[in-house]
Amino acid sequence: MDIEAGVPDPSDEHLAEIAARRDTGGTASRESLEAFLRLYDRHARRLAAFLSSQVPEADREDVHQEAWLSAWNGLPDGFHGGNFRAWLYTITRNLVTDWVRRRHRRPWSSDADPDARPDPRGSDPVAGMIERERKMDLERCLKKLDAASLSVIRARTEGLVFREIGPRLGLSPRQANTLYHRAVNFLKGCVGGGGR
Amino acid sequence: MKLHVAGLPEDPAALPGWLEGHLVGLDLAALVAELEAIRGTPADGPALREVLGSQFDAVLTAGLDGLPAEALRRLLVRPRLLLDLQELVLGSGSDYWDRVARPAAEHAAEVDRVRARLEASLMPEGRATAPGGPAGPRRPAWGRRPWLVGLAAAAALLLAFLASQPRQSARGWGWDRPDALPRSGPPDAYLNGLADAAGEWFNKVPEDRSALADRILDLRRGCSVLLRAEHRPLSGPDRAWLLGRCRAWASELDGLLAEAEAQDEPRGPSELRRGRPPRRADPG
Repeated sequence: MDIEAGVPDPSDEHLAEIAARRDTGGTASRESLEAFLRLYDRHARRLAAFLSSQVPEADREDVHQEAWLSAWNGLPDGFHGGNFRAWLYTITRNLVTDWVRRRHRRPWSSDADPDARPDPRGSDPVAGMIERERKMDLERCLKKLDAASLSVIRARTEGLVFREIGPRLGLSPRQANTLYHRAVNFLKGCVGGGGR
Repeated sequence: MKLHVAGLPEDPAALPGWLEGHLVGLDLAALVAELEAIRGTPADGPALREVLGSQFDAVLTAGLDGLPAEALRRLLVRPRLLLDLQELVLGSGSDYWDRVARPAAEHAAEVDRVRARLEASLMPEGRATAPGGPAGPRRPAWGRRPWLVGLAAAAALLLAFLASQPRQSARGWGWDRPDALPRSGPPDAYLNGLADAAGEWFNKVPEDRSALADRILDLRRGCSVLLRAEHRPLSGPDRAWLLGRCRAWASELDGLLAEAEAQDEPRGPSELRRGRPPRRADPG
């Protein structure tokens, strides 16, 4: 689809310029909307991936939509050309920070945790929220492993291969391989409530 | 629950591609949590730029294939660096990162859903609604927070929960407080004030079913206050949204009150949950 005649593959900046157009009453044209949605199609997949590490799944789509709505509303006066994606990510990061702050104000928030409050220095506002339950669940299961199996699991997550792990633990590579796969199968069955 | 770390490739040559798939997907936070569970949270160490070293720019344009094995190992040993790396490549990476992997069905579906909602929100009035998306004006982001939408669900759980707490006076608290609904001020402050006022109902737990019925009455009275209020700080669409939610809560609370007043034993929490569809953020 050509946004404008003679522009076969418009740049983000060009699309943003079209998307920012409003009439004197503040209403956008269909062309502006189509340009904006084209920007969405280019950047939404990455933005969704970014948000997957920033907010819980239950809120992700809302925050994602909010980011794009903020971009839409901010384009006429807030975007002055240049890197649209960087501008979009700045909006999104600010939204995430606001979301985290609002969430931790709620006394009945299910995972309100003093240790997870946003760092006022802003260094890592979501550090405490990352998949806390998943981590705790896996830790519970790891405690059920014997020492050798745990060592093999840890060595694999360092990126070591079995021919390196075996000698480190006094095992043959084949033994390390077997131990590892048994441990992984156990953990797969344990996480999420199994193996209690 | 899927164990993402179980997919760690045994062939070292496959590790860069495996990590790249996680960097552009929806499961990186889960993988990081698992790696930290296995290895523990490490002490502070080199920042991402130092770990990537001379390959920093190459990573942005051509992915992780050129990273030395030691750098990949450092990313696994300090998995939070993967989150920094994700932000870096998603925000500043070249088109390479759009071609890394086909998005999982879940990822593509999520992007499509948000697109439909976005398109419906931005459509000029009177145009057809995009399939799968909501109709009508944009909902305030705060309004889709689970705490507000789940207010009535929390009241349902109170029905089956007994604890020894002193009864709170029925008047002048929550939304029934004289100062709960200011007549001016920014919309966000107004709505956050409503949320704070609502929180008062959750701070005290009724000691028996009679007290529980009183508490539900308090909640219902609060809804009535909201339904009759002017909500001057709010725009038309926001006001309409809030009133719609209040009517929904009022209806649910009426049903819960009837149940609390019934002579039969109330349903337990698990029964209440089975009889009620899962709550999620208001899709708008």
